Amino acid sequence: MKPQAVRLFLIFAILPTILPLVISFAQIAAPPMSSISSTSGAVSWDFAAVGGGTVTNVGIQDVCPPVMCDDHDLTIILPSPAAAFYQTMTAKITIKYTWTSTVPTDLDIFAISPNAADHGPGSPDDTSTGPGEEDLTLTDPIDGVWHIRSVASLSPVPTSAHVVITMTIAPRPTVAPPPPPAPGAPTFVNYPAPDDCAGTQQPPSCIQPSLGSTSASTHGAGEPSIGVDWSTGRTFIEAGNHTLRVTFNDSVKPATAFWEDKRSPFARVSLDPILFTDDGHFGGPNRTFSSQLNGVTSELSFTDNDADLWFPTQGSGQPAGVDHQTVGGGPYAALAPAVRTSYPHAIYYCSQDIATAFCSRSDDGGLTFGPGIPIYTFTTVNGVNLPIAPGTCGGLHGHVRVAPDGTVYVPNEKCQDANGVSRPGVAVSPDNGLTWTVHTVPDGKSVSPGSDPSVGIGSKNTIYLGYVDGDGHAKIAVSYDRGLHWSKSKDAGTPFGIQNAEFAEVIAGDDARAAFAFLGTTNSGDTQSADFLGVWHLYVSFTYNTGRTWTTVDATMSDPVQRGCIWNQGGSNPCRNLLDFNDITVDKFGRVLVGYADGCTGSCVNDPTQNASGGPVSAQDALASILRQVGGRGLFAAFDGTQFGTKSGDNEGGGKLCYGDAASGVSGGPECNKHDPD
Amino acid sequence: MKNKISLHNIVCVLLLFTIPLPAVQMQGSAITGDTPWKSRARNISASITDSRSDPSSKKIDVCALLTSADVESVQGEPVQGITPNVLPGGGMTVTQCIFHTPTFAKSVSVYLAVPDPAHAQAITPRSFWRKLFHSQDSREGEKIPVAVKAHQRPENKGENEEHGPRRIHGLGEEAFWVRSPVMGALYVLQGDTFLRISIGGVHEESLRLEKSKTLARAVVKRL
Repeated sequence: MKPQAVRLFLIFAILPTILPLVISFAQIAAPPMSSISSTSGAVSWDFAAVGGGTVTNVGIQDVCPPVMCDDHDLTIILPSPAAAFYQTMTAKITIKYTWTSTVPTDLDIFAISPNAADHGPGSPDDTSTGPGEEDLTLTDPIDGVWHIRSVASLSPVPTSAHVVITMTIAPRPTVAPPPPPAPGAPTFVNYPAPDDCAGTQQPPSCIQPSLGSTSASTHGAGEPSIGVDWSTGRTFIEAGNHTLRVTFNDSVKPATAFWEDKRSPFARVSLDPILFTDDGHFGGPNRTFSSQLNGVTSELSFTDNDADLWFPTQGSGQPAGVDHQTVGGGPYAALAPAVRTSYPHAIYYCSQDIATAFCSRSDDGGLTFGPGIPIYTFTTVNGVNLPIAPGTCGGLHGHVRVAPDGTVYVPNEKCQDANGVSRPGVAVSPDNGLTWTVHTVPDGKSVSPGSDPSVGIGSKNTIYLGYVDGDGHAKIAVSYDRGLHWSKSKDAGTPFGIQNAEFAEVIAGDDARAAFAFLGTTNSGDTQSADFLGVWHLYVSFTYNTGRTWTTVDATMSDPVQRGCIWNQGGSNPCRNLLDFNDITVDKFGRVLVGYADGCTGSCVNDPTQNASGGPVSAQDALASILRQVGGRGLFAAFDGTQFGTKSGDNEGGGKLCYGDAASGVSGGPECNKHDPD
Repeated sequence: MKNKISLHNIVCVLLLFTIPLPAVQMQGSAITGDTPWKSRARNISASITDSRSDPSSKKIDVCALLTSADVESVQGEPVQGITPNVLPGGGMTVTQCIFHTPTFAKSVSVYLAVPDPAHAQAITPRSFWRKLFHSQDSREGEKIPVAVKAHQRPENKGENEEHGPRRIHGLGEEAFWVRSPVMGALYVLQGDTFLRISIGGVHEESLRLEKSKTLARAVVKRL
């Protein structure tokens, strides 16, 4: 009898017998209760054995059926009501959840707040045989009755667990207001996409949807990618199945933006949209690629005239259910292939299949691609793609980038070092994508669940890897030898006290210069929880001395990008409005541009009661937005002091490192008046 | 536990999992208890064992698994050079070979996983294969590739699960075609070895698959 048949038999034969028992048990048995306060000391108990499991989180913890889940109600008592208490104090609940198993087992611990917000499944959220442990920390939990639940994710044998819970309170640290932008520090202007034209309204105050579209979908711009045609200066931001073209008019100040919907006709219903412009950075001809996936077909198309005309490429067919593609390109490494077309660069399409991530190279500007060459093998445990061995990475990866010397880099937040520790890293190919080696950042730790890291490459091949560290902080490390050795990672969020970061994006220019953009919040705690109250801004950190010091600016100081949680575990969640990443690029003058989705617009901007988890829609937006540098030094020293090539004579360029060394927390000082040497 | 999905599915899940323990226990007894399942499990195990070659007795040169004539007959260009490479395999020995043609897009990549005698207790290609293509079968009877679950996206992003690996009959012990927008990959299980073949330069997926199958047959013959 096939397992499915057995399952059906069991359901229909046994369920009528068991279900009443289950229901009556659920109705009769009140969960055990405990309470905890700052003076009660630790609280502990044993959970009843749980077994079975759904592996993928389908919300079992919210229902807590017997057998799969065991509930314990914990009353959290604060010295005064939460709203008043947390004005001046902070509290932390630490949950240590342990078990022992004889077969591979994954148990999860969930804490569900009085207002039904889920916290869990604990960390490291893995499968173990023998001793197992998940830890969960609640920062500033509200007072009231919490459901603490032991849930089987994968438990072939019913397994009981033990939990120890402690509570600490402390005065809320006083966070000094960030220093004001110093004269000469990098400054930005934010360009949100306008709404669709309605009635007689005409651009540029609105955007005209492209032919065949009813909307330009500017409010559905999660995980945007950005590119600039260096020959025309036109900028592209792509999200969903729309490619928006932005023409900046720098003859006025601040520059105005003209938005057009120039979607590729080959882009249909979209999944994983990716835009890549093979710009002039390393000699590219400014060809822009648009890659779109959906459940039925996949399309890769390109344009050589700023999206007025698109051409399809080989990347057109049925994709696997699994993908997460990235497109990039750049010069060839030494021993370039003998047979090439007039297209000067190698174009790479990297993705994943069921067991490997792979890259495929095109020698004709993306028209045809070579075989998919595995860059590492991964395995899947409990639905999560994990490194299979030292020197491999998990399945999902960041965007492929190519160095001036032709080395190809694919960053990944979960790679295994020689000791089997999971760290951010890069898959590196020195030979035009034929062979690959994985290198990890030795002082970085993978964050789970995490977002993609990003690699930027300087003009002399220095690489900058920006990532979210295991502690949630925005870190960046530098390597001069293709990832073999790394500098000590710097915490770019230090000047602002950033405790949690998402969406690391890095671009470099001159070899000593790079910019690192990330979303950051000063709130600690679980960013995946529905009751996370963090206010997120977009920060951009600059180095002008090969990563020795970083200058960090809050580029959206008066306008949060998100209020509340940022969900990065896939699936459907109200806090998943921003999807998986942002993007960053540089124009030919060295100005930095960040393409991002703004999750907090309209009334959300000034209303602290709005939250992505609970809405309203203004707090769950994903508005296509471009952050464009207008002041401070850019990434090319040749344009310092020229306000990015306008030759206007003003001196907004030549910015100084007034925020000091982010890693050491120096926030300005006497050095502020000195030009920092490149 | 990852990827929380909408609560409306919970009712269905509850129906399936309200009684997971009896099901799990029965499956467990298939291995350890004296039930009809036991003999079936033994039969499967025996057939696997019978088909295994002794991994320690031979070394496979992955670059010798295809000839220039093989590649030329399929891709229209002879092999101009090869690039062998060894990849970390977590207890498997994973090697790959790129068979270069003058036009790189017509090149062929062969990836081969064989048991590593030095790590006899570690994961084997066959167990890895099972995990790749069959781990859902025993649990839910559904054909959802495992890796898809790791990458579930919001419903409004349009992903569905109908485009997972496609079973290919008549090739090795078992074979699957994993579609990809630009090239695709054909996975073939043979004994305690599996291979992955990917070719480039072909626009139409059905043609990609046919060409991959032709090359895979040539490789399997030499394994």
